[in-house]
Amino acid sequence: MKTDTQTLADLVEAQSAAIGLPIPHAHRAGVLLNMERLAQMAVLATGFPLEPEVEPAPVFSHER
Amino acid sequence: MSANTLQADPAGPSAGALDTAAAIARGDITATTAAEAALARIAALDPAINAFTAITRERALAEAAAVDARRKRGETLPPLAGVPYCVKNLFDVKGMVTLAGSKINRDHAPASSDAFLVERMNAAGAVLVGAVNMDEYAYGFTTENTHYGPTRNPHDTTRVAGGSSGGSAAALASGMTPLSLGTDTNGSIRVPSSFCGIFGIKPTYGRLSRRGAFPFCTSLDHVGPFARSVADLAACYDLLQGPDDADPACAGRMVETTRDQLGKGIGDLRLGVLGGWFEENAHDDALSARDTVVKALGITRTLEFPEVARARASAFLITASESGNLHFPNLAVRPDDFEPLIQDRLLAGALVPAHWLLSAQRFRSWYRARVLEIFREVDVVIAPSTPFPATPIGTDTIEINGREVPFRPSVGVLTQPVSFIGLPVVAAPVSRPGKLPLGVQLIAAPWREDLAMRVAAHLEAEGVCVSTVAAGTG
Repeated sequence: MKTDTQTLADLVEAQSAAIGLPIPHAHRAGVLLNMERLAQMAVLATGFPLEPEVEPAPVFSHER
Repeated sequence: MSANTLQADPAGPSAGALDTAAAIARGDITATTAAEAALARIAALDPAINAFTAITRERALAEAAAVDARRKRGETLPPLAGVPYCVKNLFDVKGMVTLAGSKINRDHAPASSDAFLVERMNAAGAVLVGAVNMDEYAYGFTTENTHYGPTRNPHDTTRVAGGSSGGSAAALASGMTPLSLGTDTNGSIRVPSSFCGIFGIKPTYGRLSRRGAFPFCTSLDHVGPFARSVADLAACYDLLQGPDDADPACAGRMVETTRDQLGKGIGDLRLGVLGGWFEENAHDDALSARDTVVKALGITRTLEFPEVARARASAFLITASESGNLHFPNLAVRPDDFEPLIQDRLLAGALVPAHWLLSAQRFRSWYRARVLEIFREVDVVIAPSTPFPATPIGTDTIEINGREVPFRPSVGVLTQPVSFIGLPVVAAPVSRPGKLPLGVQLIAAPWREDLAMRVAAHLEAEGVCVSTVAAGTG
């Protein structure tokens, strides 16, 4: 997983366009800084091999 | 009656909730007197603290009058009849706009009904005196709110009260009310409890209904009360319980009372202290406060949760992504109307790739399973609530574990890995005369709030964990 500044800047650019969330110029530096922080967290969260049987925690259920 | 309010004026700033309710039931004072006294304290004290964003004077006096009328008719009063309380301003209060600490929500229509927890307090006879300040949309640990001003710590008004339930904590620490309601997603009850020196409970995820509480990150949102004694905390928490289909995460468990468990002591409980991350990321004073508790409980066993750094990181990602998604419509058109401290956090969170988020949610299942294995061998574990005591308002960076880190997101490093899997926690203030408050987390297995409460009650009885109104405010 690449977490260098350019990769993350490209992610911010592409993702904001793809989801329709404009990042105003005044916010770009702050958003990139936060994205760098999130990427560091993502290295931890994605870097742990899990068996296929380990499901995402939220479970959709009709039980009520 | 709680030890530290035994002789307190039942309408005074140190009066406990149950003491006030008992005095009203006996006829020593009226509920109207108690309400007016609380309103007067708020008027006198809040300019220096800035806990309140709205005073519900009319409602408070009407509710108090109703209690007095019931007593006059000879009715048995409900358990918290006449007790003043306040709520974090993300709870719906009928007829009021639910600000959730924001400017944007000012445009919303007033709430058409009370939040579930407010309904429960009302049914218990409690008297709502106002809504209190918070970090905008609960995305913070300090209650430094640009729109409404910072809430100041009653123990030192140059310092933060903690957050995001800072107003809820400060109102108690200053003696303005004996009870309040807050929320906790990554630490927002436990952090202000620690910084302000009061008791709080973040129950098991799904224990208390969140209906009518403006969301932050629904995967992790919890609601809960604050109090200045364990008896008050337990009494209030017990009354807030109950199934509610309107909250998808509410487990619908029947009420499991804790107040009647408080006298059982700790003799049969298996206790431990959390090492590893929960020591490495705490300053010496937080560890010293924790050690006071460890010694008082006779704990000899240290345990470690596995992969805590990964747990904290996963909670961070889930929070960022869900809150970014929640606020997407406004972020897309009016980002500058958000709190400046969180604008860029929300924007970045909305861009989090699905792979990051889903990895975090899958890791959450793994981590829960491993931690619950640990709870087969222990009943309650102890950790500091915050790495350090309250810092000066405006602090931007702090040193943790040898690294200079951004202060505001880092306050919850010790709370986040616990709420990540919804474990119940009683936040207990450690007695530290002459020093800034610091608290500990008493962490139990899911649905065992009773055990954490028993430990808290023991510590309070021993004088190790005590909450008192800040000097110079009461």
